[in-house]
Amino acid sequence: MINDKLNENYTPKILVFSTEKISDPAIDLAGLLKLHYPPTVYTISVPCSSGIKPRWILHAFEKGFDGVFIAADGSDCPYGPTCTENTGKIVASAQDIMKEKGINPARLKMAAICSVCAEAFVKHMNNFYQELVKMENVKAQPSEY
Amino acid sequence: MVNNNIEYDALVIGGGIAGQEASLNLANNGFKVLLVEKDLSLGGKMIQLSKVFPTLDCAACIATPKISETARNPNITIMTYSEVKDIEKLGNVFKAKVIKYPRYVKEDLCSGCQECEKVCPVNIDDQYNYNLVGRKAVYIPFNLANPRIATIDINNCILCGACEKVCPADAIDFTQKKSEYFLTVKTIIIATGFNLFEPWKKKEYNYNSCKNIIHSMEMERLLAPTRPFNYVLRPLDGKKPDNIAYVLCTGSRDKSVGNPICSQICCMYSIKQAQLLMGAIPTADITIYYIDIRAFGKGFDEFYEQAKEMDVTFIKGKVAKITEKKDGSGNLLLRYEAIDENCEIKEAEHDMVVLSVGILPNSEISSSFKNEKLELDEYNYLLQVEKLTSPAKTNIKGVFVAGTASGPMDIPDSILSAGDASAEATSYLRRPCTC
Repeated sequence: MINDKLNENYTPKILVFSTEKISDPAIDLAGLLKLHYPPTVYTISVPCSSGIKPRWILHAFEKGFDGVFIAADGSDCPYGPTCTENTGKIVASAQDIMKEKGINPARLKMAAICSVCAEAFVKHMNNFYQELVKMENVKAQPSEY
Repeated sequence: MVNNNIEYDALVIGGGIAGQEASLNLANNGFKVLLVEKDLSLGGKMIQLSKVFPTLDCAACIATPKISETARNPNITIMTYSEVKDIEKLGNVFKAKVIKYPRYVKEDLCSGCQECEKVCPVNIDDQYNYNLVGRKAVYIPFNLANPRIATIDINNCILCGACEKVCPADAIDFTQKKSEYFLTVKTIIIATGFNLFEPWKKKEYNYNSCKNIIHSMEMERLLAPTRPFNYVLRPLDGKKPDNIAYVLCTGSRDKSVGNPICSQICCMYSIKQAQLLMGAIPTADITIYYIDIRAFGKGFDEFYEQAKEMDVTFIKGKVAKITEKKDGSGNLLLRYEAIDENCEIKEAEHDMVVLSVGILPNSEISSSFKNEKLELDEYNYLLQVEKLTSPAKTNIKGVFVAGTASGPMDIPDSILSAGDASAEATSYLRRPCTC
């Protein structure tokens, strides 16, 4: 059984890579609509998610983030129709490196967020936050080791 | 500031969905395009809408990627907050002047951080939300705006300088003046879109005196993903409306207001809004008062039937008068002729009324043509000289029309029309030289 009390003060930090024209406005909109999501979610806006480097993701984990979320554009990306595929490859290679370093690859997530998908973004953040809390609780169980 | 002799292949006037489509088509064919938009952001009317009919796709989700694509295309130069004046045809080219109005913010420095908005002490009505909410005197027009640059509304600014002090990029510049650019272009595409009918002009509907009467664009804003209240509320008291009426043909098919033609979109957007309202307020009763339901496009009739199945009430009857009830409830009384019930004159009570306003021509650009007159049709839309065979052609060779500047049409038709205009412009640009 997972002992929830072990980590009741644990607040995972999530880094979000958003795209400046598509997913970032949606995240902005979540704020404008006063939707609630964890305050430990931090956003960095990039022009296109295909340009994200696996080493940036690893750097985020080294700097103390518990999860990284890539708010990609899906097929809406103005830079190219293969954006989702490219970003998917970046995620896969980052997850390989994460495995090598002993970081649970589930700590890196990717989803398509459109320019007004504020509610979808909030849902993703809340779910991801809960998942990260669970991961931490599992990690804290001595029987796991 | 004067900038002379800037050359482009094509000048596209209007940065709405039609202007963007035409610009992208030309740019992808290798032509250098200058896109001039008079507003602060690209996007036109479509970016403000909730969903599109009959597919109920999110309008902003379709419009934003297109805007970004236009903005990042290396062959397209965009000038926002600018107007085209003094267009002259000289031989095979056009000379034109573009006036760029000052934003009082340096465009290259502003990062859109909105720190200035936080400190600005002035609160005024937000025209991008049809005055439903407020904005500051220094503002980014809306959160999907492109370019995302602040602008100072100098008419309402009290010149306190608070924004200047707080701007981390030192982008505020109160000394900016309007600048003029002189262009030489080979072809022009006009995509200036339409104006909304102003509902107060229909005096018997009392739009100005009854607060719970709104027009359809205000309802679009209440339903849009970027909606200001995150809920549909009636304006007078913020109450959740339970019984909403739509009055179709407000300002269309109506000689008394000078617009005898059908606006082509009102039936369908009203049916769309009715369906969206059913989703937003499942308990609400929605009644649509119509003269005819014109569901003429692909999937339109099915969409109409779907609304009927969702229990939207359709009443055939032209509304003659709307008045506010005297009991202080703010409810409205609609007087109408029930055509299907022996033309009986009836009165119905609703707690909110939406006027489905029509569209009017926006042909202001014709006054910018100097040596050749750009002809208008009898309804003041741009004249299509070969309406059936080459609908994008105007009476001036080399000037083409795209979208609703040539007549009322919906979004897919505007995009088609823009495709046509860009194809005509491309073949015009590639024609063998006749000089």
